[in-house]
Amino acid sequence: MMRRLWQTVTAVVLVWTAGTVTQTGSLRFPELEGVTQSQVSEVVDAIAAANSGQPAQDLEQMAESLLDSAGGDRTQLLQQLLIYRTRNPGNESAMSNALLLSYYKFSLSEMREALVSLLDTDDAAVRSGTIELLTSIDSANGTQPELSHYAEILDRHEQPPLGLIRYLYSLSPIDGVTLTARRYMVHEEADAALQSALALESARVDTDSGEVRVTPVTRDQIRRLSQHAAWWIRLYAAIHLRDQPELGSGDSLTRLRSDSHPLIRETLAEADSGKSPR
Amino acid sequence: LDAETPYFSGDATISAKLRKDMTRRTCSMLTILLLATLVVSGARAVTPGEATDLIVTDRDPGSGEMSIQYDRACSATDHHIEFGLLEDVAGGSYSGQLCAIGASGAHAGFNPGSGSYFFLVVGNDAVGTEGSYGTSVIAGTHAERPQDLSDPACVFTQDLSQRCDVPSVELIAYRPQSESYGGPFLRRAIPDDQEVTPGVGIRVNGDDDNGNGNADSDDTNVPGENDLIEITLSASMPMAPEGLEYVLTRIGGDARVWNAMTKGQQIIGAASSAVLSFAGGPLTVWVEKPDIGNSQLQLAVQRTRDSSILASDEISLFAFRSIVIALGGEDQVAGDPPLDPGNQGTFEIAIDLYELGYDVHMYDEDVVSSDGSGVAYNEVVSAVRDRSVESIAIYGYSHGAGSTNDLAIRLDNNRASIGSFSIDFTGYVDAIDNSSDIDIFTETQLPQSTAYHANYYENPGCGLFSLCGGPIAGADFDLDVNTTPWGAGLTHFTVDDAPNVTMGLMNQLMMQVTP
Repeated sequence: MMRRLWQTVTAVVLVWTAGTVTQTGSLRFPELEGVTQSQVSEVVDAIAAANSGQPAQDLEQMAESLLDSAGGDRTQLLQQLLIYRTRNPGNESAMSNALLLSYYKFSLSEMREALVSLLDTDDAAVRSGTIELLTSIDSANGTQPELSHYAEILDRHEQPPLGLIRYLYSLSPIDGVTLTARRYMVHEEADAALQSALALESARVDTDSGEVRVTPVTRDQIRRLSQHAAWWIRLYAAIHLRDQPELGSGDSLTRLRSDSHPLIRETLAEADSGKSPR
Repeated sequence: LDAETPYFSGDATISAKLRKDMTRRTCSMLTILLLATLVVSGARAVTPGEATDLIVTDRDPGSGEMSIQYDRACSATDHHIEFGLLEDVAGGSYSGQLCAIGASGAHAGFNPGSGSYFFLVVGNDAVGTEGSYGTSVIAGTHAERPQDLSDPACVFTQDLSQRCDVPSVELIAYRPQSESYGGPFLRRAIPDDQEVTPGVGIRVNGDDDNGNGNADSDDTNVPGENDLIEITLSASMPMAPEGLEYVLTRIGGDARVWNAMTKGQQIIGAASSAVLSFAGGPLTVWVEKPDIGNSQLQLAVQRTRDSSILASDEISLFAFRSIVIALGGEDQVAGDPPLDPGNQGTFEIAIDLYELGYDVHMYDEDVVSSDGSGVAYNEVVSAVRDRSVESIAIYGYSHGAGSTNDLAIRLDNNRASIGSFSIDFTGYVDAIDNSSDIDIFTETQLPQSTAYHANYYENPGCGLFSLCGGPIAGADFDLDVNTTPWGAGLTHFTVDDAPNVTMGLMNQLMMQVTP
């Protein structure tokens, strides 16, 4: 079932059009086709009610109607379900949403794809909920997150998508920078940068004690990385300096604090404010 | 009578009937001078204090009747005389009473009979409560004289708890910070009747809250410290009356007392007692346990002259040897009180256990990754490695139950590197596997190495849109609540709040794990 809606949106919203998420501010748009959050809410609430001992409605039919509302577009439906999930915390809502996701048998790959598209939203609740869900999916069954799942997604972006890069680096800075450098730099250039990164990785931790080591090597590598032309390389240095400022020199830190790239400035501002890396 | 004998070296209102050959002057000289009367305002509900400075002012040689004077007991509206045979003075037994001698501070015509007697004046409220008989050396220590329980003439019940001439003192201990006050457990005072038995639980402070590589018990200033117990101390009179002092004493054990949550200045440690002043108001101190075992703290009103204790309050301290981890369902954020009252049974149980003196840590289940790692795991490891904890209890609801299993697996697998411990209790309420936030499958595993597992679940028949727990092979307690009269209608979202479930789980945990 398709719906035609006139809506005035005053908050920042995510509008789904032809498989692409567009962030908008306050706007008025004439024809939004597809599933709405209130439709999702109706089904999720019905599932929650059924699991709370209230008379069950025909949940399967409701779920199918929801898919119809999305015009059969599973990607759109999935994204709306995930947005709903991030905006409506609480056990009943979360678990009922999970039942609905399970009903549609979304693959992990579909889930990742949909979640990644939400990582760049300005809606803090959606963003943090998305990261939480993505982390949970990526480390399901106690496995270490496997970042190679995201290579394909990166391949589809001309420029590194900030939200995804932020997420990948939060899981593993070295794996994140490796994946990004391989995708967005020429081979030799990537090799050189990653060589510095690997040198830093091996120099900064004493393998016997596990303690952080500050050596001329770490300072030198941090300096090199922090001056690199590619922001995703400088971001790698910034993350290390955020977590262990003693690894680098004051110059490196000062330079990165006023870096031209917002993600780098944001990373070091987190350290200054004591906020979590996310 | 010899005023220097031990019995009379005290300060009680005591005198003796004189032999007939003694003169009035001698009588006065033999009078025992007592501690200065301490008078406090009548603002609080007080009971009579001690009548003092009793002297015999006259004696009729013919009749043997005596006239006496005394300083009235504070808060007394009447007084009576207790007397006994002189040979019974050491045993503190009385043979008679003279009732209702008033409150003028003088009485004439007292005659206990022929022979030698001791006597003393006791204040009362003219209703049924009497005050102090004074103190003396009894069995080698200064203590209150025994009251007259026979009450042959006038019946009184002694009550010294709010006596008007001695300040009252109070220690109030608080439950441990977990992990900080309000985060999530609120600051809660331990009820008076639990301060000594079972006592106040406190974590052995061997962890490293300031991350400086030393056990916190070896540091004197620990930013981030959260293992000390708060105690407030107060006295009804800010300034101790002359001749008295407020003394905090450690009785046994290794407890240390500091002036700050982060330690700071040591009040009790190398020294086992300290004289305190309440001139600036009630005091707050922080107690640390460097090692396992028990200790006791006593706040006392002591007489400076002989260290006799006139009033006191005590708390007993014991080191936690167990830890309880409570894991809510998906997106259930731990709060005290629960953020969704009536709908977060996991946290209701946790708060009850906390109030019963357990070292409880309650979390949203997301603190346990699907590999068992995370904040809850780190807390348990620290408890075992650094805080001498040896017994672990873990329970959870829905995804929190799935995480209970994940946590138990990781703990058991890493046992060799963690130290010696046992998982003495695990509990599931409608367990759902928690491989990810969107996992909906029933948890079926018995937590690894658990010594006792309780499993409550509902399973009316799981369909496409139903969440169901299930039986756990090997569980010590395995109940499908839908098969019970009280739980027939319970569902996934209601089973965790059912009183039979919350009480049942808590009781089983308490049977298996002590604080």
